[in-house]
Amino acid sequence: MAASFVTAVAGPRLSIAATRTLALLLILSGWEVFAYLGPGDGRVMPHIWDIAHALASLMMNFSTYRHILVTGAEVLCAMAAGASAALLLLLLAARTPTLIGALSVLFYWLAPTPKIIFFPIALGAFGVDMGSKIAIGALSVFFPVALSLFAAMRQIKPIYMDVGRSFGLSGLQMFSKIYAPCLWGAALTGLRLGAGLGVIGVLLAETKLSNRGLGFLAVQYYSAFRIQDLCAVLIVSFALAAMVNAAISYIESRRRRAS
Amino acid sequence: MGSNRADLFFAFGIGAICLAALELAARASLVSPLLVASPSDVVESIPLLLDEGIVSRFAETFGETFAATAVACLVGLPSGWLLARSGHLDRSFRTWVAVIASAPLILLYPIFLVAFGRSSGTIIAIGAVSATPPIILNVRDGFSNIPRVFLEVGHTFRLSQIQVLTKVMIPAAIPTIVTGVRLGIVFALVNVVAVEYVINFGGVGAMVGEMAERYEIGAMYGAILAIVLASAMFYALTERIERWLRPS
Repeated sequence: MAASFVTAVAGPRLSIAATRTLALLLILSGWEVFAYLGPGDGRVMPHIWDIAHALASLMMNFSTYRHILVTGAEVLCAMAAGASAALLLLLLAARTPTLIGALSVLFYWLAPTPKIIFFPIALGAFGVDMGSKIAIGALSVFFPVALSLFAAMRQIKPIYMDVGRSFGLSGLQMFSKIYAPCLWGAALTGLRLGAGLGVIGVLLAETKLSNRGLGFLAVQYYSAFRIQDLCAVLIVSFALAAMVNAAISYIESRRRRAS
Repeated sequence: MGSNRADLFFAFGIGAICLAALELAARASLVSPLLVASPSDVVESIPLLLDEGIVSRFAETFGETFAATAVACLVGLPSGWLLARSGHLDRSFRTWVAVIASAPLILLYPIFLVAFGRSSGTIIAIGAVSATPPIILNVRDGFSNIPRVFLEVGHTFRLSQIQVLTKVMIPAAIPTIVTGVRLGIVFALVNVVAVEYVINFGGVGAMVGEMAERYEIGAMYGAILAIVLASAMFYALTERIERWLRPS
């Protein structure tokens, strides 16, 4: 069968690293073949070295860092706003299990909606500057965080809250001594899931209508048909998304080790 | 999801209260009519949405979604099966597939615009690229987690390799494969609608942008609401199909 054939050819004789290198070389060679044979003499599908050169130029250009900073700031603000909104809603609903259940159902059904379709409303409310991008990013972050937090809230044993109440804890003390320790892990998991969506939301909004940020830069290069520069911007955008994900995963793993 | 009827009832109640509050706020001019459409404005915009062909736009969007999922299945089903069959390939490439699954693939749309132009090809390609990784991962899981005793029974009955595949492995792996295909369909739908909106072309996603550009605020909210409801119903339908196919 096909799998046995592949295993026979590549399996026992090659290490995993060698197989990966071989696959990478095949992909890059395939790209180069298309770049040579495809239309536009490497303009439609640029050569790898052209992309590498464009990436180097992009990273040496000071204005690129301004765009990265704008997108980074929008993503961070979106994460903060989305997660804070989810937490605030949870605290408001905390004492009413029925409300927690009903809101969980609402969030569950609304979560799969593509959030970018709310961009015209965000534009009307916050204008074309950073606010509308932060709003779309925050909306994208909100649902995974809210779903994680509300699910975790439903799993807190009622006896913990009974103990808190019998000790006469205030609302703030209930939050810091009972809710926060139980919800911290779920919040981080939701934030990790939401961060990826937040980056996508912000960058997509920037590609639709913006005057700065990595998404804006990508559309500028696309409009000018500078495809190698477009590829370079996309590589930087993917790296930014990976860095945000890695940062939250690092915090999550440290918390797990500590607990 | 483990929700009961009471939760569902209260969820509808919260939705109704929010709509009523919005209607009152709009009538009392507490919100700008250029920014927020009241529910009655949205209802009034239904004839306009029908004139603009919202039904055929939905058909186009769902057509692109199914085309994207079909392409993703063509790539994802054999790839997942290969990963499950070959431990070496699995160890080499499963992490790659997982990384691709979590990458913001929709941002590749300008590259696809260059390749396919401003056409359905771009939309289907982005949908397919986003739907493929979850299908590969779930097909791989489905075939990898078949209980060993099932395969041994197949060998005891002296089934050929093809018979083991069709009579033992595929039926055992079907529930997990269906989960992957369902995730793929949902990912494809989300990305198809998003790309339609961003490139202003095609089905119901583009309609939101068109209505916003014409300052038809009621119709814009109507189109957004239709997408939200369609996404939720689509999600519920695929979940029901998955539950129906999953053995109890």
